[in-house]
Amino acid sequence: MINTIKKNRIVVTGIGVLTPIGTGIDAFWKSLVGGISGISEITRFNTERYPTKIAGEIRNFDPGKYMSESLADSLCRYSQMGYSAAKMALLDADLGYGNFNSNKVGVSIGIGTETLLFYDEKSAIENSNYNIRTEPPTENRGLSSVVSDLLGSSGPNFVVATACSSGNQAIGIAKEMIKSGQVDMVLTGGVESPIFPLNLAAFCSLRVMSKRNDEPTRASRPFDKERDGFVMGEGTGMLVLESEESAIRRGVRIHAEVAGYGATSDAFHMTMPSKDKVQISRSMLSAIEDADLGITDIDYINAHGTSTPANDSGESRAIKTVFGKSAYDIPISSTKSMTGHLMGAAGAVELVACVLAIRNGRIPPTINLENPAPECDLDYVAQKARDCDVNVAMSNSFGFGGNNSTLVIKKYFNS
Amino acid sequence: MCRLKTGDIFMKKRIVVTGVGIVSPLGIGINENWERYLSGISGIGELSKEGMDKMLCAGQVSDEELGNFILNDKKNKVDRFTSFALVAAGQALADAKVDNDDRQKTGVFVGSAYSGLDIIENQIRTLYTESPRRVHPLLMQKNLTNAPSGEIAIELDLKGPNIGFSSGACSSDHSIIQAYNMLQQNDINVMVAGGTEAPLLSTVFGELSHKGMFNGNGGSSDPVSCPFDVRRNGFVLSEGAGIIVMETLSSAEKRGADIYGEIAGFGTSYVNDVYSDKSKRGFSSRVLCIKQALESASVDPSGVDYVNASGISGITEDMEESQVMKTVFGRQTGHIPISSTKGSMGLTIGASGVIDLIFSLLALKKQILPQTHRLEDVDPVCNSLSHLKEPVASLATTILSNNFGYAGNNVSLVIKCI
Repeated sequence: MINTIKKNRIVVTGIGVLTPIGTGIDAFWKSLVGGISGISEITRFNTERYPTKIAGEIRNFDPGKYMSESLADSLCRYSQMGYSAAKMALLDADLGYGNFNSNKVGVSIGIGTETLLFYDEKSAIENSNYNIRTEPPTENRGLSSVVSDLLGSSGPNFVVATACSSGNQAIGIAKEMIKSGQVDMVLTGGVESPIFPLNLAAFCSLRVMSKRNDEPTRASRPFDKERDGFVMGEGTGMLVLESEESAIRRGVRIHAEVAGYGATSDAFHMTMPSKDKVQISRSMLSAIEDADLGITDIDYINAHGTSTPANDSGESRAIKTVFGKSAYDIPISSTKSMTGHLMGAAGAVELVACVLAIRNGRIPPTINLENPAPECDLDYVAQKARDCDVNVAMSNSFGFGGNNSTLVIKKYFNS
Repeated sequence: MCRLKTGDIFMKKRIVVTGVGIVSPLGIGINENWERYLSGISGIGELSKEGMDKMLCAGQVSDEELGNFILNDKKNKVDRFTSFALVAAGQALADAKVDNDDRQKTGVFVGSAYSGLDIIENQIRTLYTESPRRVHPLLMQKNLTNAPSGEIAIELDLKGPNIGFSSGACSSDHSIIQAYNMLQQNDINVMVAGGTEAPLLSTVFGELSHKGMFNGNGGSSDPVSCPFDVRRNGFVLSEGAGIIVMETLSSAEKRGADIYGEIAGFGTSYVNDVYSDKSKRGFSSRVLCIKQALESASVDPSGVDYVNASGISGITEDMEESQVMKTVFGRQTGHIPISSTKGSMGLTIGASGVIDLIFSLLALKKQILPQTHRLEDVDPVCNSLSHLKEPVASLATTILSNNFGYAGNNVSLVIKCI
């Protein structure tokens, strides 16, 4: 009879990242604490008729390093990148093909605009409007299935789609799956390769992107007075999450503990954030509660901080609602200032940044924050990384569709 | 409230369904669907669309009927798959009679495989025949996989977790399973879950026929979707949505809600490299999926009163499912009534799992087991089961509903009477 659930802790045992500021944990971390911007002029298609001409491109990505040529040819770019990061994460977690109870391993991957980007890439290549690939992808297969083939896992696999918070929510759902006993382990995270003609046009039409085309590295400037919108970037963060029991049994190194997940919906508008920020605050509070912690336990907040006028002031206000006066004492940063907004991958890559902050006792900065906007009056770790013991970090992500999501991650101590 | 510590064992909550809504090729609404289905009406007809070189058969939702349930203003602001989900969700919530107080803690999980492909195709044309600056500002919010869940939350003021899931033909099943987990472990009162799909587009027909899996021969007199029949020849593509309202048994009892049934257990599996190796591993993986579902529901195979089959009308798929049944149920197989809704409904991809679940819940509630439409001559290779060619009265209390996706994902759900 299965009518009980055993309470379990959920830990991170593997990490893989590809970002505009570095591939792999070490390179990514070095750029993060070095305050490096990954934003530059878009070179892969003609942006002449676009108001925004900049993005965070990954220039040196060679799918052939991670997969067979035929697989690479069949997949679209976000699948190639997600597959590659998944492979890195498996290696990091010391997992080989199928060396686990395969039905107890799931895959939960966040992608913001899965369908759009596949057909955007295909049509761009067919219309000779894309110069880093000559043949269109042939297989419109769910990345979660492709990654299950890589692992040899036969548990539940799906894509979690909540636009710009997809990566964060996918990890939250992965945690819930392990917690419920449905699986012991999940390959999870997020990926997005948004720099394609239709997708860029779609975001331009919404007037939410920076037009600071002449100064790409200064364009993503969360919380700054002069911020004028977000800058998109491509990337992926993949993590192996497992129950503490499973990690100890396998004798694998534990990076950190995923302690809390909270999610809410504004139920207000598909693309505009609500004015009152009540649901953002509820998202943070429920993640802290889920982690069995209190507001005084949070040592660092990795903000959603998109560099849009609406988000950054609203998020700051919500943080003050949750933390009261102590909001001013908590270091907060937006790593989007360096990576750009990685869309569906953002939540996952930013959780990796939190894990690394915990492990290294250092907080990555918000670069380009020269003159904070008046309503953004918290401690955003401007410009330079800061040494600081971090036991507990919190990561926010909000997405179109009005959804809000927060993860709380903790330094791991033996039970 | 005392908090649980690591290693503590706690009891699972019982999760029940208290509201359902359907938009399908058979019609809009539960009674419409149930009555038309039992009387043997088919939702499959000829489809002619611009840009298609030949007439195809498909299951279409009637635009005229849809127009009666959704305002034109709204319909123009959302893509077709979202309009289905909005209508189905409105019906499900009205059916469940959830109080406004509960809506703060009500989440929405809706699955879809193709999301808003209609607007995507349309805007790709705009981009390449006009200009990037002509691309429509509503493209983003219309195409998103989480557009249905987001729009449902806005329309019905639901402020809990809100997610779109995509997992091919199992998209709605995984939404329901994750909604189940959400209710189990969190301070959430109600989950609105299900799936929606509007795939009747030339792109999708092109991709599927390339894989040689579906049957669209319009104009011919052959029955186009006839699960388990010797004449079957692949699935027929359809559109539609199904939404259910899920809550804990104690919450449903407290507010005196009508309960359709309990989601007692589920199993999932995935067949690796399904396109390169379809044979053996698919079989064992589907056996495992059902066994897992029965075990998690604490149901012995002999306790299953009816199987709502995946039965997509595929030549190998239906045969394999029959063999899977034989393996799981052994000698009893021939006594267990089984039917598939696909003969009348076609395959609605991301909505198929939840639509089948709703039919199973209605079977519990109305004490009638639905038939397999168009099943006349049972294929000997599918002969291990007790096929229903006509609806039958039955006091079924435990039902197994299978959804075996052609892309490798499988889900089995077990529901029980309360």
